[in-house]
Amino acid sequence: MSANQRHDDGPVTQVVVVGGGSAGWIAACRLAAQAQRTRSGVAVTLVESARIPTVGVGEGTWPTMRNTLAKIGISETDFVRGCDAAFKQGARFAGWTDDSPGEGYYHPLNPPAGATELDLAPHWLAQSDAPAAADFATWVDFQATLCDAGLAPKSITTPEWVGQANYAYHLDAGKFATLLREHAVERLGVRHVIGDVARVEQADGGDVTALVLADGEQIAGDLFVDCTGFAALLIGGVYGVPFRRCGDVLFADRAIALQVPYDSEDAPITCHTVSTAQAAGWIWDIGLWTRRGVGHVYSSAHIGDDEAEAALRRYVGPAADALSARRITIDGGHRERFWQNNVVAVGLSAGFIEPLEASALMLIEASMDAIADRLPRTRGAMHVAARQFNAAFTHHWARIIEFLKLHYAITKRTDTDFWRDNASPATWPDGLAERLELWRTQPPAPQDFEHAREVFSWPSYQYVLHGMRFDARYAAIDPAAPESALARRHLARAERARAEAVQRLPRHRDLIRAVREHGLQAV
Amino acid sequence: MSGLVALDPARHGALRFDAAAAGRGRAIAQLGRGEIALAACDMPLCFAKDGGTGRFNLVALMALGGDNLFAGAGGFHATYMPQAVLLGAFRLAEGGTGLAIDPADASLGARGAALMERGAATSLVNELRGALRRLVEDVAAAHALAKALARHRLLRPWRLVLRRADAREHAIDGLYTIDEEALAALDEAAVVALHRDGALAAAAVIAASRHQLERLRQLHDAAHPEDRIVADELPVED
Repeated sequence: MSANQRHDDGPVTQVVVVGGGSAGWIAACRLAAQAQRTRSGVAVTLVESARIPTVGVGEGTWPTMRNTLAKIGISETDFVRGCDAAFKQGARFAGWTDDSPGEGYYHPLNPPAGATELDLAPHWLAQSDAPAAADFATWVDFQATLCDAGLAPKSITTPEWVGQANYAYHLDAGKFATLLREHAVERLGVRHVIGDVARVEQADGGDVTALVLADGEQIAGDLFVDCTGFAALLIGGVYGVPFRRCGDVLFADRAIALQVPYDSEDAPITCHTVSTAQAAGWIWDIGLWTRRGVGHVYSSAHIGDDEAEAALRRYVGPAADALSARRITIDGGHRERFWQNNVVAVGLSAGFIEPLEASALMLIEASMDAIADRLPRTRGAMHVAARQFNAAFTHHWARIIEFLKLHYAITKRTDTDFWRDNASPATWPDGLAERLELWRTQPPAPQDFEHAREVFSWPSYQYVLHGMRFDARYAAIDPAAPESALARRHLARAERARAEAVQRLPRHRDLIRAVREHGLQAV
Repeated sequence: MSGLVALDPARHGALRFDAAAAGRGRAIAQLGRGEIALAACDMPLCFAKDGGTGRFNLVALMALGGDNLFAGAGGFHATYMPQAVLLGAFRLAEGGTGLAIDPADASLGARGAALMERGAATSLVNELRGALRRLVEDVAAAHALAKALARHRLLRPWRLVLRRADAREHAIDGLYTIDEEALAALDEAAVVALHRDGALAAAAVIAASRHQLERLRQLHDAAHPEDRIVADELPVED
């Protein structure tokens, strides 16, 4: 038996995570927690350079983060306290449909009422021309009302991870990595090695067998998780897996960020992301416990850097005068393959895209769900895992790019080249163009997608399409039909939920203060 | 308890305290840790979250969706009256007599022991202040107990449903009890730590007191023979 055969048939017992940002520490925590839960004997080592700063991508999460943290074993209270986290109930897109004053729509995290039983979109559309008709998000669910009122998605008596409304988080990414690192090392037994990777040892078949650090230490492993950020040390540096850019579809290639302090200690904290369209991009505005994170994402082909920064400072107002901005380059796209041999790329080494729907941390979580929960037991079984992973994430990236493009493609804005170029079907992915044609006469439905578990499912498409007043004409609704009666029942139930939530839920800042002071209970 | 005012010899010179009348209108009473064994003789004990802090208060149930089943015209018909019931009309206050009162409480009125005599507080006021201070300390000990039980994940929702003869149902949510499965699954170190703290015995008494729910049902049916109920626990997963 050759050395290569032994390696190929050997059990996977040593996993090495390379890189120590959010991706690296989420990966290490998920792998180690799973090993602890199953007593699989898998050991996890994280190698982190002391010299390379982390990028700190993603201050917004998806609701999936609740499940990730619970699996890792971090309490929601420790998370909120440790990361200056705030609750997020979705996003409000201002000025995306047109640039008239006050224009905007919500993409809440709650699905439309009765989503498991019926589709309310045709019922909404049938009455949407009526005077004073509510917008789609408000008509089908109550969460937009909570966002408008500055209310939290839960109260201090609600158990951790549970909400009266669905929710995610806004967080300080630097503090998040620190919290994860402490938990990984102190509670989950992750070995933390600080050192620079000087060389990579490979077997004949190309598998990575060990990292050789600058001080000569060898870190051997059976599986390597490349979380080295834009450097992509293994997936790019060792294997040269090509990077598939998407700049022809999503034009934004720059961002400028500011950290804006609150006016006062009791200033309201917005409980959703605010994304405000600009002449050549958009501005994100998210509230943490201690500050706002505000940034301008833009296309350098359509606006200059200084002009973009000036627009951001105008948005923030006088508070921006004393603040220094941080400029970020967005090289949008992803690897052609994410898992090559015994290396799997997670985080920025796998791909990067503008943060319009906060997909960065979600993709890390989804990657680690696939890797940690289905860790190949042997090197030999890794081929199948790699093939499945590559197929799934190639699909996910394509759908994410399409969904982000949707926000631009159906705009009614014609004020700048940026919006006119985005509305040109020539810049739309084929899949999006095909579906948009279908959705003119039928609402988005689960059957419109190939995968049972899409990262963006049909409610998300409905919130954006109808939020942006997409020109759809669905089949007529018969008010006497049984489904119309079912729709009325669900809408009435949603109205009761709205009234109760508005009456009972606390102000967002008050909830965070109570969590920080008293903590949330587990039950 | 929204109408609290300072106990003032000038204003409340004729006010008397009737301990036997305490408790009317109160469905639950917060308990101190030292009251667990005593209150469990009459009432189901459980936990309910404080609306402002979310932390668990130890409470005794005294009603099933209606009036206090122990407090009647002839007094409080139980072997033990929780201190929070007895002292329900009073709060500690700064200055003056050191007490604030809720003049609307059923225990205050023209009957019972005098709170004032010749324009000055009686010794009863002093005793009430002392009892309130002890209760505050005992409630803090109950909070510590609840915190320890919650830390070991030994609390679970206790969902009750009251079913009436006409098929009407009334759910009682927001209560928590001991998770006996989790208790049985504790590791040795946790068992020893909780035992040394006295929390294990307390948990056992609280768990057993759940069966006093049947006593409340009997008291309810006796008081309302025309409106008999069945009180059931809903499964945790429901």
